Amino acid sequence: MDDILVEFLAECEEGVTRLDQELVALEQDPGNLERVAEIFRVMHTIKGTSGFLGLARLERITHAAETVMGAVRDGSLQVTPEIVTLLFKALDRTKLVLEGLAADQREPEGDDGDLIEELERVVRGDGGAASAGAEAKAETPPADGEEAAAEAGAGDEAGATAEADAGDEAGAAAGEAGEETGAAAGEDPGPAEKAAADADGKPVPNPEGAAAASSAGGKKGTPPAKAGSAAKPTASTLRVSVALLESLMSCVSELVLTRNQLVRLAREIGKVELDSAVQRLDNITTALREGVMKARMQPISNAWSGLPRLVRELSAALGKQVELQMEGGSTELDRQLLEYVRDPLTHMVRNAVDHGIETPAERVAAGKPERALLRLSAGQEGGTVVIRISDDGRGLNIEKIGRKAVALGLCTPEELAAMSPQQIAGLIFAPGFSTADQVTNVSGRGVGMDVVRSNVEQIGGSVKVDTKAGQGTTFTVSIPLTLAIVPALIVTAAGHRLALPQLGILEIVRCGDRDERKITTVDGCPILRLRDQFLPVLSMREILGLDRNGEGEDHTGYVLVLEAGDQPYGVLVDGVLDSEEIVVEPIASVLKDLTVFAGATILGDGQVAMVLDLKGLDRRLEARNSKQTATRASEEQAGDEPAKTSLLRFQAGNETLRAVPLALISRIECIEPGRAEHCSGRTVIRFDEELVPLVDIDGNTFGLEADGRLALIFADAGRRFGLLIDKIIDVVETEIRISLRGGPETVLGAAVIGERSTELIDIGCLVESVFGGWFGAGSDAAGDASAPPRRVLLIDDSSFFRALLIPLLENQGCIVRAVDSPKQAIALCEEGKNFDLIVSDIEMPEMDGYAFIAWCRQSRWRDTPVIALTSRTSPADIRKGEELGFDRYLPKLDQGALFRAVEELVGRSETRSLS
Amino acid sequence: MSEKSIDPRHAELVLVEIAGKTLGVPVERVRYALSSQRLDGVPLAPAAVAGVVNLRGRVAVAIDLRCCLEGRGSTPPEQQQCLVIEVRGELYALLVDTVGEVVRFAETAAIDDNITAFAPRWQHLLRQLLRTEEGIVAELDIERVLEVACSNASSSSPSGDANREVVLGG
Repeated sequence: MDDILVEFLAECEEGVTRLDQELVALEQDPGNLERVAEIFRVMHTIKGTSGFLGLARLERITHAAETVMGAVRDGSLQVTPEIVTLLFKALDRTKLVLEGLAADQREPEGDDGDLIEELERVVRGDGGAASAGAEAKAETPPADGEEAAAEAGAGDEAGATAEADAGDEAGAAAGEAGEETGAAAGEDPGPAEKAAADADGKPVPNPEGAAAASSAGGKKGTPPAKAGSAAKPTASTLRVSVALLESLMSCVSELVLTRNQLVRLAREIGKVELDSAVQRLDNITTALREGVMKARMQPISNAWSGLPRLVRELSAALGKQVELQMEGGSTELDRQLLEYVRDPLTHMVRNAVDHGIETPAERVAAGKPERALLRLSAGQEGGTVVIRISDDGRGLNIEKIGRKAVALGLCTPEELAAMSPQQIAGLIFAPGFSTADQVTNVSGRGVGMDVVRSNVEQIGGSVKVDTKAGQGTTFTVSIPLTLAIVPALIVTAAGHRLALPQLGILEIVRCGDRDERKITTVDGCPILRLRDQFLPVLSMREILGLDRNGEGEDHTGYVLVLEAGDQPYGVLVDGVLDSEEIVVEPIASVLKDLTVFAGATILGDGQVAMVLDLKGLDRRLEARNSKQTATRASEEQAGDEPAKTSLLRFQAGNETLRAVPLALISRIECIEPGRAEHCSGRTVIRFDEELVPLVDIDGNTFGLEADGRLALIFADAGRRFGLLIDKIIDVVETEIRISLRGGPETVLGAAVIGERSTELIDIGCLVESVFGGWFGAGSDAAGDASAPPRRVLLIDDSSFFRALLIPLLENQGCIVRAVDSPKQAIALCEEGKNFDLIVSDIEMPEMDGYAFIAWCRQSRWRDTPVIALTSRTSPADIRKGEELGFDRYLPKLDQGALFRAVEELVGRSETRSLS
Repeated sequence: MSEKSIDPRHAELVLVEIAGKTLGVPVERVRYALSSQRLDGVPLAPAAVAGVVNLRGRVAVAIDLRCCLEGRGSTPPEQQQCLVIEVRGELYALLVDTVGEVVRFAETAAIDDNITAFAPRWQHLLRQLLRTEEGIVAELDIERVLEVACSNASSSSPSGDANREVVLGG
């Protein structure tokens, strides 16, 4: 293709892209004269050049469009959405012609009469009203035709001259200037001057004259004298072919490697002269590398330039109102990567408008402004560029996603139940997933979020979704700045050196038998406890099949904490050698099956190291996770998730893991030999002038062997007892989910905590076994038989609260019967049991506290006082509770209030204390 | 040696010796020959992949030719020489016992006559028999070699450390 034509097409593409953005902006801000002038200028540039190149069709379209903008600029025409739409239409036609031009090197056949007529009508309609100014006359059809012909002629002539003396930039400038003068003949001198100034090559962002001059000058070898005179002040930018940049980049890559090698050699040789030369080479290489990388960088706005228009058209088509805010468009990214993010971004924006954002009516109903906000932001964070796309729409429908995932067989209902909302939301990235029930013509084009994810991952990036029902959805895409040269960590495993891109590494933890952190094996899988999380650990040796000789599991080394989707995990390596900038070479086809490797690289010492693929490691982890459906130890939970409880895990008597809520423990005592005493058969320790009874895990209180063991001291309102244990394992913060009930009396049930089953100890039961008899004996001893103990029925579905309340109530001299549902309470009533007081929770599954009190007041227990303990304490709730017949309605955590209520309702003045 | 039947693309062969037999590799595939190189093992790689090697700043995969031909490698890699070939832009280092001279070949010899001199496993990796100045030489089928190298399961990871370089003479 003709060089000039190529140049022209590249230029037009920039111009057209620019117009796309500017027009949308203009619609939102019609009064912005600068913008109007800019649009005019860009259109004018395309028109001028196409006239010069004899592209009549293109010229006529752009001329008509320019005329409209001219009228806007003069104030004789108001910008309306209709006008913008019409201008877009003209722009689309321009694109069409340009495409044809690119394909066939000539303008495609076609009639633009209707479009031009429309454009002219707009101007005329307004121009007539504006009392036929001079410019209106100049833009009537005949004048237009003449002018176009004149321009074309001038252009041709100039072009011919240019060819002849091989200095077409001069011709271009001349043609441009001549045409400009002609076009501006009837206009006021201001714009004409400005336009002429453009043609003269005043520094403007997109100086066609300069571009044409530099390319023509460079390619045809014109003596610089002429070119320089026409365009010297503007040649500050230069178009360079991508291929040239690529070859420069690969040279630089090799230079970096050679530098690495030299640096290493110089270190070995240790000659001062060599050192300084190598040092200089090192600095220059770094500077050169940075320079070339920078040359490959493009602002990210290049990838989202089409989005304003996309959003405008989509929202119009869907009857939605969307404001698109873009921030950080100047953030730069390697051009190669830019290409990869373009489509994912478009797709996500499309999705947001189509699915995420509600119709204005729905928004108003939800109490939101009619106009939705779609924010696109980009910024550099460390070595990565983070792009966020967030809308304030309805948010993802977690329930629906879950159902669909199960229907598609992506997970089982059980697996789904164990997932956090965050994880469920992540399922939209699974292959073949799309939440739209109907495939709309907007989003449902076969490209799903899975394609988005795979595109992003292909370039070593990641994508995450965050959603809040009713508040919106945010997609976060992180991508490396560049692919060519990657900072990597060099690690070893079984003597092999491997490179791991630093981008995925969250932290490095030293692990070993003598270190603070240890890897433990749970169900045959190594696990690392790091702060409050349990990380599954993959062994690098195992991944690489290098563990054949090592009979025992050696868990000493470094754990690299990596991030896979939402779940961090660890990779155990033998050592971490170095951090090095590596150039990743693609993997040879013979080794393509080895998905754990992304490529190979040459290290500073000339050795080759394989580069690990984080995605490949992720897949390993997934494979392992699917093999064992262990419950996750702890996961980040949204604010409204069930509250987490800190549990102290310990062993007592045997290897079984047991746990009690940490909050119930007042202290932990180590019982030195001889400290425990036996007092009427019971084992006690003396503690601040007080005898504290001990109990073992099975509830025994007599003749215990306490020496050298630990005692967890539970205390409440002056009453204490100690539970003998052997060993403290750890403290975990988790949501208590009892998955197995039954077992010995002292056990509330078994729960899976941190991938290990753990028995939750029923403190209430222990209290009973300690004080049940003690209490009787105590009262006998004190001769205090003034009143029988008060019988209290406690109804609460939370085992934790039962465990908490039983000792509190017992401390008040109550005998507590605890049940976990109103149904069980009703059963007790039907069995003929009677209580002095009932304490009930409100929020319970199946039958809540309100239903229970309603039933209660109709039953045999109608006169039994009932206290409601609840976290629902709004005045309306309290009123409702009292109307239904609760005697007291108390907040759950107010012990004092509870005690007072107990005293008032089933009063017995004395509070027991242990002595 | 009649001039008329020379296929210009396969006019010359680089001879290599392996397990006592001489094979030919079309010269246009060959980049250069080296004495044994330091190999860095690749975990999980097929058995025939002896490792990866740094060849003047490029990474090449070393293929143990003996392993491809006989199912196992017996000569320690450091005593072998490398014939570096390029296939679709990728470099491979073929480990052979010795790299010999370059010979011109004249015509295709009848396969039936001589191919039976090779074991079936070898036959699979041979493309054709060529009549050369040095007698009949079997041409190695590079594509097949790579295929076989690829499909061989299980890994081996030897490494050598010699670093001498021998540039092949014409």
